[in-house]
Amino acid sequence: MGFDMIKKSKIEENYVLVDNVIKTFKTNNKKKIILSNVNFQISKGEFTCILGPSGCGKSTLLDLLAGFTKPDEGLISVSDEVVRKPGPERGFVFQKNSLIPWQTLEQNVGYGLKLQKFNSKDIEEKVTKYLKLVGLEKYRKAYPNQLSGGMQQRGSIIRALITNPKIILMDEPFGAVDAQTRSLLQEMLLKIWREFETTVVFVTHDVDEAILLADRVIIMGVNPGHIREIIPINIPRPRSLDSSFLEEFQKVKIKILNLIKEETLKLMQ
Amino acid sequence: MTSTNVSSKSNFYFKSFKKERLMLWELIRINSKTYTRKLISIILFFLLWEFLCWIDFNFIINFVFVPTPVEVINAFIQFINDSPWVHFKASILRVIGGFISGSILGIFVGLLIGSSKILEDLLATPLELLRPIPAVAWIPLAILMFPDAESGMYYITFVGAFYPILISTQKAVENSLSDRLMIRVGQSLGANSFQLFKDIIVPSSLPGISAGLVIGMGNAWFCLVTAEIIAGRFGIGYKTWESYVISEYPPIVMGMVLIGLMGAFSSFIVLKITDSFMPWRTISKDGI
Repeated sequence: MGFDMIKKSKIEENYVLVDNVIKTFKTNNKKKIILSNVNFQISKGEFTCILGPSGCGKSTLLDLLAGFTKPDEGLISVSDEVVRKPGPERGFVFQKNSLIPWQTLEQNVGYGLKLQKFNSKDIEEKVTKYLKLVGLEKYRKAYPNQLSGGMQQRGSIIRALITNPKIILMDEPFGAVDAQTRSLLQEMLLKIWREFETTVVFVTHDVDEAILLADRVIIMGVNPGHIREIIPINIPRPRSLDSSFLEEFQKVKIKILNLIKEETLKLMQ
Repeated sequence: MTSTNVSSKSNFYFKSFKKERLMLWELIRINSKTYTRKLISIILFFLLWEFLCWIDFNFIINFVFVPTPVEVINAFIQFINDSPWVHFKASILRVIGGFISGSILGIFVGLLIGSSKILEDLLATPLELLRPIPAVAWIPLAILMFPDAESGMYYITFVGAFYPILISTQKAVENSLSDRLMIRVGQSLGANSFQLFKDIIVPSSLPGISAGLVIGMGNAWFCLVTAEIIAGRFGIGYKTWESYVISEYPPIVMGMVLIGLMGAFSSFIVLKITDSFMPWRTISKDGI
């Protein structure tokens, strides 16, 4: 009883709570620990990036936050609710090709609202508003395979945003687009984040991207996956590509690169 | 983003449709040579056939009793002059009846056993045991089980259409279920199991189901001669079988050609109709 009370107050105190999470996968009847004792909290409106070498379990952690998989032990909650299954209250932006191929762009963007039984006029209005936000209103009738990778990701972002979620979870959303498009998308994302004051958890392997976007960067370690360090980024906002010339940016970048290098070397031993 | 930028992009979007039409025209122009070649090959095929009959070719394959193309054409002209519509109508109705009932049941059962392990365990084994039985073997039972010859014939074309549609649907659904990404997309937007099935699993299975329907349509024609052995007085298959029984050879070949043509044509129609349900697909075979 007392234990539950402590849990409850913890959930109420923190907007996003990841509390003593352990995640294992079974391969050939052997349990492999993917994440061990992961703990962190995120406050409302914060932009958090998760960085780490491949295989550190950062995507697994994001899947847990989304509710696609369940932790073996521990607790995850977002905005006073324990995460049990995926849902529109936690928007998810996938790495690539996640627009539904048989739906046009506007059907894709409005799909979440349609599932919530909004009437078609409201859907139409909202979809138009969000398409304009990312400059895609001309392409509303296009199918995903007629759109470039960057356009698809923009569509994917507003599709997650339109249901007014408590948090947006992004799994390397710009990893598959070219460098020029990527920096445009990053600035667009920052603009949207400022405007909507959403909470974002963003998984990436690009250090520059993490520093440019985040309030805090969570560095993950390997063998098994754990949190190595949480680094606050104190670069003034609004940030742009120019921010990467600041001394603070370079300092923090070197610090992060060294941490990741250490972890990557551990993988090779 | 400036307005000129947007409009130039939308121009590009419309241009791609124009470009497609242009490419089609060019394709025809470039392929006209191929079409000529194909025409020549058909003419040569008939000439060779005529020639082999003319010299009474008889080495391993015996052409002595094979009717010549001219005889087949004459049989066709006679058939056309002799109220052919009843035969066409009877056969087309039997094929379409078998195909439609086979499609409805095949897709329905395929969706069920493709998506549910319990239903697969319950239904798949008996269906699988019945599957290898050829249409001809069903004739006696079809006569015994059905009130009249007509429904027995529908049953045999049904059997032909049902299995390819069933198996394709089942496999297509299983394939869709293995696409975790699309299922996760639906889940994260709040779709429940039924909505996932309706909006994600079924549309993504359509290409596979379409292939099953095309094969099923061909198979229904395939089984027509067998079906029309069960009596009846009309039908292209009946005509073919009757000609064999009375040893009149040219109409046999004519019946074969007619069934081949109508089978190919109806499969083509099925393909076009199912393609219209999948406007999102763009298929390019130029750069594999």
